[in-house]
Amino acid sequence: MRLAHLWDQSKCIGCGACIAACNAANYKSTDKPNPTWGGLQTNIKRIVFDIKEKPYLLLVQCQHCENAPCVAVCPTGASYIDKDGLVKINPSLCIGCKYCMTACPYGMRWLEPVLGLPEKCMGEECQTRIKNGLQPVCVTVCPAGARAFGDLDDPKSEINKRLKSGRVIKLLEYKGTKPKFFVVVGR
Amino acid sequence: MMFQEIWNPVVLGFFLWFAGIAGMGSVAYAMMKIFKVEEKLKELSVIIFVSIVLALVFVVADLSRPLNMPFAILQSLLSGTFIVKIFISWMSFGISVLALLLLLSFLLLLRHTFVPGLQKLTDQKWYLVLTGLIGFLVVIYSGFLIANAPGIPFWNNALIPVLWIFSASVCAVAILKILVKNESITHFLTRSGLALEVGELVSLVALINVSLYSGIEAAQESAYALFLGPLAPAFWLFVIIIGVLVPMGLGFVLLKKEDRNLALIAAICGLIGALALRMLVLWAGIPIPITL
Amino acid sequence: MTQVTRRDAIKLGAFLALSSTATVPFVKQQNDKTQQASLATAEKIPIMCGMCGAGCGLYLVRGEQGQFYIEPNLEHPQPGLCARAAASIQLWNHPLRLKKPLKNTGEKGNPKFQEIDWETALNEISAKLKDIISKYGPESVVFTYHDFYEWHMPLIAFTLGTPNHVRHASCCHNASTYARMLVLGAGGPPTVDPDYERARYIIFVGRVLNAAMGMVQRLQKARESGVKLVYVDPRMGNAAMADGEWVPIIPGTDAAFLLAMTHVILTEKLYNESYVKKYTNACFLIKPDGTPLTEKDIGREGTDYVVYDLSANDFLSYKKATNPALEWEGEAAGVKVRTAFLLLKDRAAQYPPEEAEKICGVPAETIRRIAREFTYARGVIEDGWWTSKNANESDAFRVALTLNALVGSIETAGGLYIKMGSKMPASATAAADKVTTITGGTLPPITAKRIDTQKYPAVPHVFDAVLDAVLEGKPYPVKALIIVGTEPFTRDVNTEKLKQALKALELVVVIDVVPNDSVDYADYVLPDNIYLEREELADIKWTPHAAIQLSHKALDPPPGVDARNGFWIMMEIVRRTVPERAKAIGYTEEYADYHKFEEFEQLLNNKCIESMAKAWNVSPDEIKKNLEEKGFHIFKYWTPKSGPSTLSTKSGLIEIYSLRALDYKDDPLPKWKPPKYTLPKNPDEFYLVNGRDQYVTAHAVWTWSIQSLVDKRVWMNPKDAERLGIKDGDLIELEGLDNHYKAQARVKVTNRVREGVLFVYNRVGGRFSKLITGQYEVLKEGINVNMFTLSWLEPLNGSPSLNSTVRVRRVGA
Repeated sequence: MRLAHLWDQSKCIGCGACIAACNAANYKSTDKPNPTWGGLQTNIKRIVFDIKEKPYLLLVQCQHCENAPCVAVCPTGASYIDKDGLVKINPSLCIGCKYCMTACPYGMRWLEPVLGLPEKCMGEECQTRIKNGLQPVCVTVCPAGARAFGDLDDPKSEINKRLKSGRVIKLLEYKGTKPKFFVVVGR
Repeated sequence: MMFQEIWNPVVLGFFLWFAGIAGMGSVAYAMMKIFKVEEKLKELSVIIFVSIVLALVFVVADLSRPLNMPFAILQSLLSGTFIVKIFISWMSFGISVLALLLLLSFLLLLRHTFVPGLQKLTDQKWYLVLTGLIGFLVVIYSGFLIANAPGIPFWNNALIPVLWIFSASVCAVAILKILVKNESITHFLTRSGLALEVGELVSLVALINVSLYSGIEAAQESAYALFLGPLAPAFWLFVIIIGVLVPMGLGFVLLKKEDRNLALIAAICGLIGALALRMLVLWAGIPIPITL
Repeated sequence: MTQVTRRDAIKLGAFLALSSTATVPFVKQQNDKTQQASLATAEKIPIMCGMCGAGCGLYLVRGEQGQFYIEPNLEHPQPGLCARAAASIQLWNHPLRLKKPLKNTGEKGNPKFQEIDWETALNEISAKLKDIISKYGPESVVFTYHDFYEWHMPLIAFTLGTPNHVRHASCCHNASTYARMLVLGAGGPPTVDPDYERARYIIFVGRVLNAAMGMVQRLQKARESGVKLVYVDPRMGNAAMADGEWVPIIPGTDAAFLLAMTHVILTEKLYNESYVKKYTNACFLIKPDGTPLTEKDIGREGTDYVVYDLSANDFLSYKKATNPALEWEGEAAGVKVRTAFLLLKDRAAQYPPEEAEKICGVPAETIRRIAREFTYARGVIEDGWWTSKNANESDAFRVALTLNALVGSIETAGGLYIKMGSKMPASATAAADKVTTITGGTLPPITAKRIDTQKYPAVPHVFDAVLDAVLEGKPYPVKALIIVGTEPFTRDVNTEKLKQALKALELVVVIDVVPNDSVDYADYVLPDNIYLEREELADIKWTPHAAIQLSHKALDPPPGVDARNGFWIMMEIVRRTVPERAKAIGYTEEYADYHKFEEFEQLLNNKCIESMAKAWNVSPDEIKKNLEEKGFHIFKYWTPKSGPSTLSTKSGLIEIYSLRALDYKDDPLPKWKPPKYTLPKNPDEFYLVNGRDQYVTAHAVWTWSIQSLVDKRVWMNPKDAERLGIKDGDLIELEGLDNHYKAQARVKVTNRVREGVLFVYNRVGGRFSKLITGQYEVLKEGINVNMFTLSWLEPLNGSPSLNSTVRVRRVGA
C-alpha cells in the first residue's frame, strides 16, 4: 500500500481552505504562531510566484517520499515509513535533534512549540480519519476538486484515475527523494 | 537571503568546536603516548574530558525534546533500531562515538588524577589507538552529518568533513603548542600546524569558489553571503585572517625561530578561527527554495 | 558508510521501528486522548456558514481529541468551504472576543471602556432611546447591519417604529442590483447567477470566485468539460492563477470594454437573433423622446407596447406579433420611431474596440477575440455581486446583462439563471395602512419615509445618506445609530464624514463579536453570538433552486464570554424602549429570560415553515424533518429552459432598453462614464484598487489563519516599482489625490496587478481600535483603503467608489 496526495494546480483557486482546515483539525485551531514557518501552525505551505509572466501558486506539504531523507537521518527511528506508505513520527522516540528538518529538501517540517516535535503532514486527526475510511481533511474541504488522495497500488483509486488524466509533475525530483506528492499542471 | 534557523549556529558552533578539540585532542594524546612523549599529558586529558562534557552540554541545549532523549535512545536501543541506524544515520553514529569518547576520556582523566591504577588499562596500545580513532571519528562525523542534510545545498559537498578535520587538527596543534615545551615537539607542531593551515585555506577557497560557480542557487547564495554578503565581515576577519592567515604568517616566522609568545598568539588565533568557521558554516546554510 | 542503499536501510529501519512498539513505562510528553466515539459515527451538526454572507452548507464535526472542525455538507445545494469557514473556531475562541457589555466612559475615538452587566446596559440604552424618540421620533433611530439578522431587521425596526434599517448594500452590490432591476426585473446578487455546472465560457468582471464556494463546487463539472474562465480585472485574483485568462483592465472602465464587445457582436452579427426577438424588448419601437410606442400612441385599443411585425406588415402588440422586426425605423402615426435594437447599435457604435482600448487599456484584438469566443461558446458574463468600485458600475453590469441576452444566455443551460425564491415570509411588512409581523401582530403604520430612498430612490440601503442626515438634519434628524455585525470603517466611503457623524450622534451602540474599529466610537458595545452559537432559519442563497436551510446551534460561547444572541439583544432594547408596541406584536416581558427567548425564536421559525409549507403545498413536518436531519429542504429544482418566462420588468421581457430607467429619468441604454475621483496623471500617481479573495470579511480577518494567508502589503507592478526605485518589501507613503489622507504601508512587487494600479485587500489592515492587543496588533499594519475615499456615489442607487487615486513616495527599506 502506498498512500499519496495529489494537488491540481490548474484547478486550485487558492482559497486556503486546506491550510486553515489542517490547523483546525490537527492543531485544534491554535492561534499560536508557527515558530519555524511564521504564521499558522499547519502542514501546508503556500508559495506564490509573483514575478512569473503568469503568476502561479504552489501548495506544498510533506511529500511522503519513498526514499525519505528524514527517515534515513533520524537517529532513533522516530521518523519512519509506515505500512501504508506514509512517513510518520513516533513521538516517544523523538529526541528533538531536528536532523529531519535540515534533511528535508522541501522544508516541510516545523517545530511545534509545546512538545518540540518536528510536525508535518499527516497530523493525528488526518491519520485517524484515514483509518476510519475518510479522506484527509485537506481533501475533504477543497471546494474546487483540486485534491485527491489514495493508494497508488490500487488501480481503481481516485488518485490513479487523476494521474492518468492530467499532466503530472513532482517536486525536486533530482534530489532522489522519490516524492509521492503529485502536482497536476494541466490536462 | 533566508538563512536556516533550525540549528542554532552559536550553540552548535560551540558544540562542534568543543567536540573538535576533544576529538583531535584525543588523537594528539594517543600519538604522544605512543611516541613516548610524556609531557603535559595530565593537562591534555583534563582538556579532552572537559571539552567532551561541554560539547555534550551544548549539543543537548539545542535539542527540542531533551527530557525525552534518555527514554527515546533507550527504547530505540532495546528494539534494535538504534544499532541499525548507526550504519544509516550519522546522527546515531555521532551519538555512539560521543558516548564512547566520554567514557574513554573519563577513564583517561581518572588515570591522571584519582585512579592512577587505571594506567594498566589506558596505557595499553589498543586503548590508545581506540581513543585516537574514536576521537578522529568524533571530529569527522559531524562534518558528514552536516554534509548529508539534503535540505541545505551549501552543506552538500565533500569539503565539509575535510574542512572539519583540517580545522580541528589546527585546534589540537594549537592546544599542544600551549601545553608542550619540548623543543623538538614544538618544532614538529609548528611544521605540521603550517601544513594543516595550508590545507584549511585551500579547502576554504574550494568551498566558496565551487559553491559560487557550480553550486545550485541556494548554495551560491550561501557562498556569496560569506564571500561578499552579510556574513563576509565575520568570515574574512575571524575565519580567514585570524583563523588562517595570521597563524600561517606567524608559523613561517616560527619556522625560523621559535618564540613562545608568538606561538601562543598563533594558537589562540587558530582556536578562534575554528569556532568561527563552524558557526558561520551553520549560519550560512540556506534551504532550497521550492519551485515547479 | 555501508553499501546498503538509503531505501533498503529505511525499509529495515522502518521494520525495526515498527517492532519497537514495546511500551516502556515512562512519562510520555503527550496529552491524554479523551475517549471519543469513532469518527464514523461521530455527530455532524449541519450549520450555515456565517463567516461571510454566502451562507454555504457545512457540518461541524468533532475530532478524536475533542477538537471541533468544519467539513462541507456535500448534499447541500450550496456546499462550502473556504479558509474563512475553516477558521471559524478561531473566531469562536478568539482571545480578543468581546466578552461583556462595555460602556464607553471616555470619548468617542479615545475610549475608556467599563464592563457593565446586561441589565444595566439594556436599560441604559433603552432609557436613552426613549429620550431620543420623545424628542425626535422613532425615525431618528437607524439600524445598520450586513448579513447577520437581515431577516429579523424589519421586525426589530418596525416594532420600534423606525423605517430606517439600512444595510451595507450600497457599499456592496447596489450597482449590480440596479442593473439587474433595470434589465431583468430581478433583485440582489443571489437572484441571478451563472449556471456554473453547464457553463462553457464565463467572463468574470471584477469577480474572483471569492464566494460562494457552492459555485466553485458546481464549477467542477464545467471544468471537467473544459469551460474557459476569463477574469477582467485590474488585478489577478487567486483563482486566476489556475487555468483561465486574466485580462488586465484599467479600473473604472469595464463598461467601455463590455460596450466594445457589444459593438463587435452587433456589427459582426454574432447575436442569437431568434432569442433576442423572442425574449427581449429589442424590437420595441422608440419615439424621439425615448419612450416606447404603445397601442394607444397609434390610436388602437389597449396599452401594450408595439412592434413592427414583418409578416403582418403592420404594427402589432408585442404580445401578439410573431415576426417582429429587429432593425426597423419609420413613421408611426406621424412619429419617427426606431427599434430599441437600432438604438443599442448606435450606442455600441460609440465604442469600437480601438476607441475602447484607449479607455480601458485592453488591446482591441483581445476585445474582438473575447467577444467572438464568448458568442461561439454561447458564454455567460457573471452578473456582478460586490460592485462598489468606481461609482460607475451599474452601467457596466447593464451591458453585461445585455450581452448575455444577445447570445441567449438568460435562463438557458450555461447562461444566467433567475433564482427560484423559497417564498420565505418577511419578518415584518410596513404597508401604507399598517405594520404586520410574522408573529401575527399589527401596529399602526409608520409615517416617516426611509432616509436613503429619499435621496437614492432606485435601490435602498445607502448608508451615506444616513450620515448626511446625521450631519445636516435632513430629511429629518438622526440621533441614534445601532451598528450590528458590520464595520462601517472598512465598509463605507468617506471616513472623515463617518467619524464626524459618529461623534455627532447622541447614541451609538455596537453589537459585534470582536472589537471592530467602530467600537472606539461607540457609547455601548454589546457582545454578539457567532453563527455557531445560534439557530437560524434562512433562504439558501447562491443556488438556483428554491430551498431553505437551518443552521443548528452547535456551541455555546466559550467560558468567560457572556455573548448573547443579537436578535435577543435588539428585541430587548425595543421592548424596554416601547413596551406597548412590543407587546402588540407578541414580544412580552417573559422573553427577557435569555433561555425563554428560544421559544420566541421557535415560534417565528414555525410561522415561517407553516407559511412556506402552505405556499409549496408540502407538510410542515416533512420540512422540519429535513431541516433537522440534513440541515436543508429543497422545494423546487431549477432547470434550464430555452429562455425566461415573464419577468418583473415593465414589459415582462429582458429589457435591453430599460423602461424602468425612464421612470427614474435615467438613460435607458448604458454608457461608459469616467469615475469621479481625480485620475492619475503623473508617474508617481496610481489608481488604488481594493478587493477580495477567499479570506476577506470583517470578522474572518480577525482569525490567525486568515492573517497568515492574506498579504496586507500594497501590490505594485514591477515596471512601476522599477521606475520609482521601489523594491519588494519597501515602505511607501500613499497620499489620497482627492482627500490628501496619508498612510504608510509595505510594498509587494508582483505581476498580479497591472501597471498604473496599486492593489490592497479590503478590511484586512489599517485597524486602529484600542482594544486590539498582543499578536493581533498585526491588524494595525497596512492601510484601510476606504480612508482614501470621499463620498463619490452614483445617483439613484448610491453605489460608492471604494477605489481612489493616490500619490506614492518611497519612505525607506
